Amino acid sequence: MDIKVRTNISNEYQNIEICINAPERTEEVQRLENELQAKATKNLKQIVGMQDNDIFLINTSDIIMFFSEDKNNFCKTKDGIYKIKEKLYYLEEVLPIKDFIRISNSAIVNINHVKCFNTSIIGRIVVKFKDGSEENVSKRKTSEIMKFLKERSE
Amino acid sequence: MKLKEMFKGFSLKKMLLTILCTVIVSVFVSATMTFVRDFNTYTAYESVAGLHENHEKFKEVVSQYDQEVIQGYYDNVEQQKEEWEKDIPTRALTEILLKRFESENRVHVYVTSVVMGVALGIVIYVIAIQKANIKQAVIELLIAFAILIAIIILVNHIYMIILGHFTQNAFETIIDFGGAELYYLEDNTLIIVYVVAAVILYVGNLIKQKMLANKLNKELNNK
Repeated sequence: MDIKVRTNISNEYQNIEICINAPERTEEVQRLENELQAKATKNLKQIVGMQDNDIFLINTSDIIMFFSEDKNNFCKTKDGIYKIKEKLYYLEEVLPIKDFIRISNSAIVNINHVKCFNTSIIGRIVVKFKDGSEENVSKRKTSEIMKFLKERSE
Repeated sequence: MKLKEMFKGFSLKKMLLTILCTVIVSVFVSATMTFVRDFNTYTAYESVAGLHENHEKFKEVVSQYDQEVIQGYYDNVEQQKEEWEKDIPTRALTEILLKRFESENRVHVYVTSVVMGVALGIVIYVIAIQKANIKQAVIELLIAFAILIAIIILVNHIYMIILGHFTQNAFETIIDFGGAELYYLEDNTLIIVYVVAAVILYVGNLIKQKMLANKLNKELNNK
């Protein structure tokens, strides 16, 4: 289906408003609406995950972390690992900013599932989750994580 | 594939940039140290040269210098003449040996500081920047050490070839210059620098990261 994008700039608008016009509510329209909604509110509540050809609707609050491996993206909950379609840079845009933080090029973590930060034997900072698993923190991201935690505690 | 996995996270560009920084710092530090070390000698000679030639102090210092220092050089020259078994004018040989001592000193300081800079750059990159795991770090440091030794040998040989080329141009003959120095940095010194730098960096980095982790934990628990 062809999608036309039209932008109207006028003083009469108080806020940015996105309106979808379609002949019927198709799957694509629904997906577009969800994506725009999530992007606008930064509050993605559910995500579709795949495991052994089965599809699951997962609450983002249950997700421990999102990560990429071998050009594929996954999310991890206490029940297992699910393959997802969304890219990490997109998830960064739509996930609740108070709960999720990118800790490296390949991982976004849910801070509510973090137990503590620690150092590995080679002097790298690692994040320890409540389920006992660990993930490396990129050196470049430590200042952003610190800022995120400070803002969160305010 | 295995080789790729072995050097996972290794970036030649980043390592060369680190080496460039450490070499600049190392050359600056060694030049400053040499200046500070020789500062007293410089000022002593400058102040003597600044005295009026008829001044009593000037005569006293010059005669003392003549007796102690020059005599010392002459003794060395005589010893060298005996070694070479050649009848060379003493004053000329003194001049040559003094100039050679000067150039030797400069080349040695320069080569040492560059080699130290490269060695430190590699250690800093592997341990603090790349943060390779222990096995990977050991392999990378050993390979780098072998390459470094090879480079030193190569540089020394290139220097000898250049020296030979100049000798040939100046005297139109190939002269046996077996007395010319090879500017090797002693292997022991290099190993000590390598190990000490690696241990200091490892411990320092561990403490720094531990402190950072504690700060993050403090903020995490500060809900």
